[in-house]
Amino acid sequence: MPKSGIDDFAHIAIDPSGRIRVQIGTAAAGQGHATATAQIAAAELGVRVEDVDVIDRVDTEVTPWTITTGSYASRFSIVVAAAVRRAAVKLNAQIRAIAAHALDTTPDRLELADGAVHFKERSNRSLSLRQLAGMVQWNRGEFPLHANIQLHVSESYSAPNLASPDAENRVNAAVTYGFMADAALVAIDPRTCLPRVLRYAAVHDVGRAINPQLIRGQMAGGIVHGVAGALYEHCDYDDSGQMLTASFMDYLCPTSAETPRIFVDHHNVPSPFTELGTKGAGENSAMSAPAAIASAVEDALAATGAHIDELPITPGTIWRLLHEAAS
Amino acid sequence: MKPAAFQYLAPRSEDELIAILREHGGEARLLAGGQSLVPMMNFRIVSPAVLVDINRIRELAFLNLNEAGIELGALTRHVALEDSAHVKARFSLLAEAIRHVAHRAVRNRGTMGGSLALAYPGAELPLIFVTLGAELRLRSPAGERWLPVASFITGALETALAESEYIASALIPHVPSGAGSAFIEVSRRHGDFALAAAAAVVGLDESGRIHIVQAAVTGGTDVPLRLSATEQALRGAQPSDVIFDEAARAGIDAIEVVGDHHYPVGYRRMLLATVLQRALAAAASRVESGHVH
Repeated sequence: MPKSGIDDFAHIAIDPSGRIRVQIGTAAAGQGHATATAQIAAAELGVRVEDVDVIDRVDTEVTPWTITTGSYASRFSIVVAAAVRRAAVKLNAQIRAIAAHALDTTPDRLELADGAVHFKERSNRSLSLRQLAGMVQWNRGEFPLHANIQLHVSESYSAPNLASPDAENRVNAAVTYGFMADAALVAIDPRTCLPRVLRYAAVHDVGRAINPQLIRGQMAGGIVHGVAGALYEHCDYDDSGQMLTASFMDYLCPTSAETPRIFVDHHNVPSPFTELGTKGAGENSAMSAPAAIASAVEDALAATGAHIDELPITPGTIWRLLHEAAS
Repeated sequence: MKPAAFQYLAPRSEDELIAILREHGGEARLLAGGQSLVPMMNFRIVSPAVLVDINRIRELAFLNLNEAGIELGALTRHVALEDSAHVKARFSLLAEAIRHVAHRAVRNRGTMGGSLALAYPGAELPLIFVTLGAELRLRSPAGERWLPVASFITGALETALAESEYIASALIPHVPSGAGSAFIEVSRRHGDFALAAAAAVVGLDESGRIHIVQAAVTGGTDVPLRLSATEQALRGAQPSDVIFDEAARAGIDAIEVVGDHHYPVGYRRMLLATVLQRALAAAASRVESGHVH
């Protein structure tokens, strides 16, 4: 069976106490999907971010899933965020339709703000989401028999520029592309051969930023992972295949002490291909930092004519390069 | 992983400990801070039949500064050295090195006795002890003996500790009055065991010539080593970057150094000479600037 992942879903509901609950199909590992989801839903539903609960856990026994369910490929801000927004827009319409029955008006005269349904024109009549949810929960009989009074909706979003694999099993898996430019300042002590990243600067284009603070965290994390790949982390085996770096004493993850001063800036241009103008921020400097750092090491060792084509760059590697150049 | 099954004993005094060692001897391991032993048990690198937890033996945890030097109980935690104003004032070499032992969380639990009994080649405390000529007081059901740390550590992770013997305390002689000291370490990450470390004590006579010098290194050597070739080359010499560099190289050339694929022996030697030269130069400059013991 050919495989393609072009969409994702969001399920959104008001619980009986009036809180908003959103369920999504990614499982974040610290990226802040729940926060970003709450921001998008809150904006469309006229509630505070703290009034939104987000379930970003996947259990294939009880939650919907597809081949693309999960957290990877920068999918969250492209397809999941779009599905969240669409579901919130749909729930907004549904809330106004139900409230119109209770307020004896039509949905188009209503709007959502400050956790309540208000008349667009000046009026002292309004209905809080808590009151509305309570009425639907406890007294369905107040509403017309055949009206849709459900306070939960689902929506999905399918990226328009993705498709199934072609006859040769080729597929475009990227809706849009983020861009970045990185610069690393690396010092090498010639008498210890220890490389140290002193400063690291990165400029990113993530399209429209849903939450700049979360994105800065992603960038910093990506840069430290990049430092790890460039200088420290290594799956090392001896000649008999025994792993030599099987514990965190030997598999060196950089700590705060090895982290350079980081400068992050943005030059964001909204994507024309995505619903929210987002481009994805998760696959960031983790990919460019190893190249930038290796280039900086090469530059520091320019006198030796060294060419770095293997990571991580260890003190032993640098010693060999200096040693070979000297002899 | 989890450790293999073991019997757990927790004596409350040295008398109780000696009774336990008389009974269990070679099948017992002593648990002090547990910062190395517990991971080693979890990886099943060691699987003692009897684990003797000495943390309740209060008489093993002390820090006494006296005329002979500083006496430390085996159970004295690294933080006790790190936080002691007396150690900072009179044993700045020890205070400087102790901050390189892993991280504060490890130093909260790690002990002097544990560090010496493990005898890890890149460890800081054994290096300082060897540099200053410290001795250990070893006790067992058979009695008590004193052993210089340089004789106690016999190889990488190997010591002269007999089967039913334990480290009771250490005596570290004072750094000679008027001398300066320095500790220099290189490691891949902050808090790791040293790739190479050096400790140096330098004292100058009235004419400015070196008349006291104690220098030792570890890393790429199985044990921390005093460097007699370096010390000899420097005694009577006028301190300078060139003489420290030459003396450091002479000292490292005279010892056996082991390399591997990641850290070739040539790299190890360069690194050892570097930290040694830097420690000597820093110790001498502290004498000149009045930062002396």
